[in-house]
Amino acid sequence: MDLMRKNKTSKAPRGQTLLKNVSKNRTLIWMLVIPVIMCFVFCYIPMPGVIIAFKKYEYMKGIFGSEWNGFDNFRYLIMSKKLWSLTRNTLLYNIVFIATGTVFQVGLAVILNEMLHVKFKKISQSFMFLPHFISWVVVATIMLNIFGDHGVLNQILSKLGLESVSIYAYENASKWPIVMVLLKLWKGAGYGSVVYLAAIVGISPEINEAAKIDGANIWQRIWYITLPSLKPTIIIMTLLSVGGIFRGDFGMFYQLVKGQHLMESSDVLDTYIYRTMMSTSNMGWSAAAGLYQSVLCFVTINLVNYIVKKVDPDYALY
Amino acid sequence: MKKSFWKKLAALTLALIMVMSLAACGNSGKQNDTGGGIDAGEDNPGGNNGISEDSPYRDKGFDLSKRETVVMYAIGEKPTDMDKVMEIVNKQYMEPWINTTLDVKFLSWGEMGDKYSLLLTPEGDQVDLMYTSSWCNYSSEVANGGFKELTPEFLQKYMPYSYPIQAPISWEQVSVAGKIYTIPKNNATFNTYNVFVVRTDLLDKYGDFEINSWDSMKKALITLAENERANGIYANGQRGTAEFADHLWWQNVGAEPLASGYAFMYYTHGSEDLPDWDKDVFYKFICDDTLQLYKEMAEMAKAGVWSPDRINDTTDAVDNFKSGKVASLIWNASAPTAGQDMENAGVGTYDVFDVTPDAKAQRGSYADDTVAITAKSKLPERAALVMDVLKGFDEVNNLVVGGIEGTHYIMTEDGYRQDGPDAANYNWGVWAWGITGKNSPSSYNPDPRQNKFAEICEPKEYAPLASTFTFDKTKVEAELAVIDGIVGEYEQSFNLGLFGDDTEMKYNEMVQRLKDAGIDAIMEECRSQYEAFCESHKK
Repeated sequence: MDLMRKNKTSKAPRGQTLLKNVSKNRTLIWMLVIPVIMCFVFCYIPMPGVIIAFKKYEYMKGIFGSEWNGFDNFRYLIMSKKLWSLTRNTLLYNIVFIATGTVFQVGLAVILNEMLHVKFKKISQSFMFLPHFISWVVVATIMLNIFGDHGVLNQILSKLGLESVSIYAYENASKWPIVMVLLKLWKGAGYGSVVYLAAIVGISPEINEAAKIDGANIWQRIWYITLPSLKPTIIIMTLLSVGGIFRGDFGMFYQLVKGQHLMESSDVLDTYIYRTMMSTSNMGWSAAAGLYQSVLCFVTINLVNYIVKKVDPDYALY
Repeated sequence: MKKSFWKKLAALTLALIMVMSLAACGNSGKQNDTGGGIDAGEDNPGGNNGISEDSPYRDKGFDLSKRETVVMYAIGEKPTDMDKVMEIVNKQYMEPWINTTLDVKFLSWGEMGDKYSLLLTPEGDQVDLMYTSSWCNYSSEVANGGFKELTPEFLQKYMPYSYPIQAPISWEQVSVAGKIYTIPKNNATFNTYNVFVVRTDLLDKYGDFEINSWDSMKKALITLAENERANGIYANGQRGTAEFADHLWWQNVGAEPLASGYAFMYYTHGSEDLPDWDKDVFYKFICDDTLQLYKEMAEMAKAGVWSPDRINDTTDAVDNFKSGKVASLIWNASAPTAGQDMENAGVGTYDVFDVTPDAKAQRGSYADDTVAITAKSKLPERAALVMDVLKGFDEVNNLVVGGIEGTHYIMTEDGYRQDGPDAANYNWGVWAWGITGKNSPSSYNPDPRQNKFAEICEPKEYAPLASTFTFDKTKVEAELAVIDGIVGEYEQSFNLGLFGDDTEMKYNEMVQRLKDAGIDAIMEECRSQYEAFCESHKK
């Protein structure tokens, strides 16, 4: 191997090989230009602004001219005495979302792949994708019209002479974590399955055919061929999701659970920060909250990546 | 060699990124100069160039020779006839009088939370005048240095017509730590007094109701709930953030807010005198009367007076009342108008009731609607002149606030105003709340129910001395934000009675959390500021 590399290098200088590779993959490189620019503009250029978290920001003095105030901007987060419960809520919700999401997304991808009837497959796929395009505001309204006091469900129950129920009642606050998980799955599982579906399509049909000839049934093929082939994709997708594990889905938590009486079980970092910021427009505080979440996410993703690297270096992100 | 080339390239790229980042996020740090402003020197020979012969600003010592555009931001949606009105404002007044074009832009309610602060950053678009109020970021933007400090000298000089007629109390109400950062409206209304408007076509079916107290109102609401809920009509809709409690209950109990925009309150005992801190001042969410209110709300919620999902329901309570989905509304002077709209739509009939006949009525704070000159404005003097034109002359003020006379409003012989044929395209006071002038005409309606609100409030008007007290939150900003966050977790639920039998338990829990989060320190800070205020008023 080393010998081959040496030979290659001796044949063509490194710079030339690079140029050759660039010219060979120029279409791919062109395709990469826009995402790289986007990433640079939106992720790297604003990065120095993070110092607002340590400053008493004043408009006319600007980000760099405003006075430093140490960790003062973090005080309100600590003073609330909710930091732990908020962080825990955010983390637990996201762990459940990622875990259930992955299982359902992979499951749906496998089912879609095994469907033989093309029309039925396409219709099912469309129905699975559709919820992804509905905003949480609309989902909240749909929920209210089905499960609310005058909603469809209660109308049916009253027609049947049964007692009405409301998931918005204070007594039912403890059931909201389940409601959230179900809604998140309903909204995201179909769309999330696209990546896995693409990965399944990429599996060489020869392997499946060989297994078929060897007498493997559908379950065996899924278990021994499809799922192991999806392993790298699953790990990468999970690692990417872990990158945002301390960020709550604000749209969902805010729109679905406007009721503060349901908050004990649904207050996450993002909703708390929003609530606090509504009474003030302190940019230093917002930056401090954002930095807190980013640092936690950074530590977590490094930790998870480290573990994956230890177990199987091939699957690590970096 | 090659390695060092790549290293150099990487270092260069990194350096470039850092430089670009600094350039993008930074700002020159230079304070705005007022180069585009005006020199008010007496010996300015070219000062009258560019303005008309009959301009009231002629020979006032202003150099108005250069045409400038002043940009003002208002909150809400642009009225249909805005351009028509602004054309007259600019062509007849702004341009000939002060050689300035006024450009009014709107920040919609939806955008307010996200964009308001961004508009004040020096990097953004031109913004010279900005709507602000005790409920719309005033104190926090002052802390961020978003608004220009307005000294009495500046105001006297650049607002020569409106400053002398501005209510002196209004300046006190907008001052933060003794300094003024905004120009308040000059017309305070009874916007904090609340009345009860109910559908009489429904209520009359269940007996003869005499509504003149909290309990009689409650009885009417529960009766309506018992009989009309099955028909899909709720007895009450709960407006906005369910602040039913905030106004009517404290009106009933006889308490007023101590500082506009904060939850410090005091019992007035019907007097205008400054309250005794130890006996009368309290924090709104820690008080026996608060618990009593929440119990009342829980009782009404249990009786089904309003929808149990009201908190998750985004429909507007006023619209629900107008369309007949709810049978009553508790609100200020706008409530009878909503009743009229409901009646005009053929839904039912209405009447207006004073639930607290013994309570005094205070005009709202001038700090509730103001317009500030932004710190980044390059034309602060010109912006002040624009405000002077808008507020110092009744004809201009009526035009901006109410539209074109004869089209959008009609004046009666006795000096009242009535809706004009195109009132819907430019309602009176549709956006210019912060500009309303001293002599803004009152509305008149031949229907006695429409004048009932004024008839209720005017005879019992009083002006408590404490209404000029303002609180400077700088020292306790973090504590206050945490406290507001905690209150935010409970307030609406309490106001809608959602905790049911657990109300007292949840109330105690909230009180404990407020104490743990430092409410005592905030009250102590408020007390020291209040005592200093009392001292200054004794002199």
